Amino acid sequence: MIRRLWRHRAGRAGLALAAAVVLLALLGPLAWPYQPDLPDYARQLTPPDARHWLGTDAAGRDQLARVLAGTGTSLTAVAAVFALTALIGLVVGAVAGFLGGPVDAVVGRTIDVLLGLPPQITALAIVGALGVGTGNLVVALVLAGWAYPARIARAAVLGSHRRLDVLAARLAGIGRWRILTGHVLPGAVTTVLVAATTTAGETVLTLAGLSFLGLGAQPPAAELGQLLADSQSSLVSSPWLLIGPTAVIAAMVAAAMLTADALADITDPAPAPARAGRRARAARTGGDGALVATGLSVRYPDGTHALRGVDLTLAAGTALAVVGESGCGKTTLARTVLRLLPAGTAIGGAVHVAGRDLLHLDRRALRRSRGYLVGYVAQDPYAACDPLRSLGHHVAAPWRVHRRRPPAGVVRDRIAGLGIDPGRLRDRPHRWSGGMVQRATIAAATAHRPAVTVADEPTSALDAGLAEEVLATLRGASSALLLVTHDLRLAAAHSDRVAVMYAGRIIETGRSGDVLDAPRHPYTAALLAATPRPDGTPVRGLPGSPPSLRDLPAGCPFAPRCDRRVADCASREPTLSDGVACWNPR
Amino acid sequence: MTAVVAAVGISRRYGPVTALAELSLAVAPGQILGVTGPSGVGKSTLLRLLAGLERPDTGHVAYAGEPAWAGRGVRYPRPGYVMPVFQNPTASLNPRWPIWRSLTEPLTAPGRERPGRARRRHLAAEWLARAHLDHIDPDTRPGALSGGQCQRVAVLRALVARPALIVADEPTARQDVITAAATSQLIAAATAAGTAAAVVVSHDRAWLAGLAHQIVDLA
Repeated sequence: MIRRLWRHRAGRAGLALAAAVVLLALLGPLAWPYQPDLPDYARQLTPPDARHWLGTDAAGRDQLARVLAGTGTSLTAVAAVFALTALIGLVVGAVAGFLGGPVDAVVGRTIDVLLGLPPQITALAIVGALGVGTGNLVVALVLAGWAYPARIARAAVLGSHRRLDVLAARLAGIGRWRILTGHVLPGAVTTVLVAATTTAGETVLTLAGLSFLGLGAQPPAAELGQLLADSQSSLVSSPWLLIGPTAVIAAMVAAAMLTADALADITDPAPAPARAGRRARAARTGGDGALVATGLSVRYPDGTHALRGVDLTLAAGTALAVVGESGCGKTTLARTVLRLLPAGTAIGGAVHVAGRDLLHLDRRALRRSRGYLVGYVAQDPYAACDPLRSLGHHVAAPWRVHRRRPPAGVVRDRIAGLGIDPGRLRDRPHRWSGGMVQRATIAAATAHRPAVTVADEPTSALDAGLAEEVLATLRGASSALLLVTHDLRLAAAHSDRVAVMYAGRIIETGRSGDVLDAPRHPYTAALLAATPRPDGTPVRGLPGSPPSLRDLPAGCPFAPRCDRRVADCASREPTLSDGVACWNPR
Repeated sequence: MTAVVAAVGISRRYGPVTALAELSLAVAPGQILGVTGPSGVGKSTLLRLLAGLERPDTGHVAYAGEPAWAGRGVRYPRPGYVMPVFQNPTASLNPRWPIWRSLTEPLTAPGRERPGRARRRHLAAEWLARAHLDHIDPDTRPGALSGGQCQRVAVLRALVARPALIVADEPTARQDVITAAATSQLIAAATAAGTAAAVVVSHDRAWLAGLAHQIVDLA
């Protein structure tokens, strides 16, 4: 985690800043010759000079020595509050969420009530009851602050008894306590850590604020907020006294904020758009295809080389099916065209959609082009929908994201055109069947008549009969269709051309009928043989699975599973020629 | 021969919706029962009832002749008696665990041998090799595997428990044909030894026809 934080720009800044403050508090008092609480009434309120870098205060004490000591006090208090709120929040929230029932009801209400109160005021009231002092201040802040991480932990854990890995563990006979500690808590730790770090910046400020009011460390001990309060009395005559405490407080807040930002970033599963590498800076070509990819290669940050030089052309008005088993790179291809690859992915080559260089659109142009250049139909129609919104809302979304309203009646027309009763537009997704929801997402994806519609396994969550209808709908609504699927027969029936992928490359391409009737690459033939037929002919499996895309061996990547291997296969990788990449095609 | 699982007149309602009405069936050791039918006829509900994850509103479920719901909760003859295979393979493995840990988790149940860490890694590698997945490093996390590979690992995890009954809910719905074929082979091999039975739900009749000994159509 620390290493990943260090690789993040804001994370590195945050960590460095935090380390600087800690070092200052630890080593500063040892290196600096002055005592923080030794008054020297001969040298009251002297401006900064070579001996007293930050000057002296009203009692003649060296201000830098006081700031260093105060940093230590504040840092210890903040660290204690951070650790205790995170720990208490995690345990209370996670246990309540996991146990559910009456325990959860009581804890949940308590959290709600506490979160309804401003934490500073709560802390103030608690200090009022306990009495002043840094220790009491920490207790007050923990009591006022544990509810937020607890809510986060509870949310992370809630519903985990329905998680599939938890169900499997339960059936295997693993006990509740071990499921909690093994499966459930580790996931909550990260989210709680992010939540607690986010509030650490606020804790610094609240702590300083409360000790500014005189509720924290008592003189002659030093604390940052209290130093601020001291310097306030001589603000006009000696403004330099402010510099030290202000700078350290600012550094601590900034460290917490930057780290929290970076933590949220690196733990967020939603990928940020990646930018194309410099290598891809190609001239504006594109020709007449709706989608033209040239020499496209994609390498993920973990080293997986998911696409290794893919060339394909999708002509306007046609449908191209990209077929292959899981792990062959077909989903990566779809995500590249959608510009949805995670940050840090290296992209080479070029993709042109309707003549525009897709990989070099900046964020703004990309946002403006959403829905116009490329439309997207996802695999799971329900997951693509917000369960709280009506279907009409989803079909109207393409206009709303561009801050416009759909022209009157157009949503109705689209829905009716796809064979759905418009009277049901106000229903939420769960009242619609999978086929209907998928048709609604097709209506949304094609609302602005994009040059290309990308559909990634659009029917694998649907019954076979529905799949046929939905694919026909999809084809009719798209101007050009890139259909990503593992089902070769379905693909062939609903596309003009097929491209079969293996290990990040296209290994066979051609007219759909030709490829289906007479596959030339042994892998295509194996895919066909493994596809179940309605007559119940037993399917033939293909042993093994695709090679790891991290370190591919030399030669043809399919060779280890191939039954038509020849001598060349082990040494040289075949390239696509005459529609097939094989040394010994059929 | 005692049925591995027997259901007599089981039904289940969710609020006003009847998910499954009055169904009876029995599965003998070594038998693969296919369950098919259009969406919403209660295929998944049936599996959850057979697995003891939910209690039927009416009727009885029995494991090896013993009633499953005798007391407060469900009672299995032994830990890992029923093991599941789900539709979503990546979600059925803990994303934070290396796959050796998920694979051998059933061995750590109370009353089992509870092998140590090194032994578990070794056993996981053996199981992977048995399924021709020896090119997968047992230290990989599910995120680095494809969906098809995860599904095979999930099937293996079920087999590691030496279950009497495997319940599989659309195990191939999101899989390519090759993974589907491999999944069938693993399930068929486990039942062919006569130690396990399986109930497999799928809307893919063609695939099911090649796997199951008997098919129930819930339509």
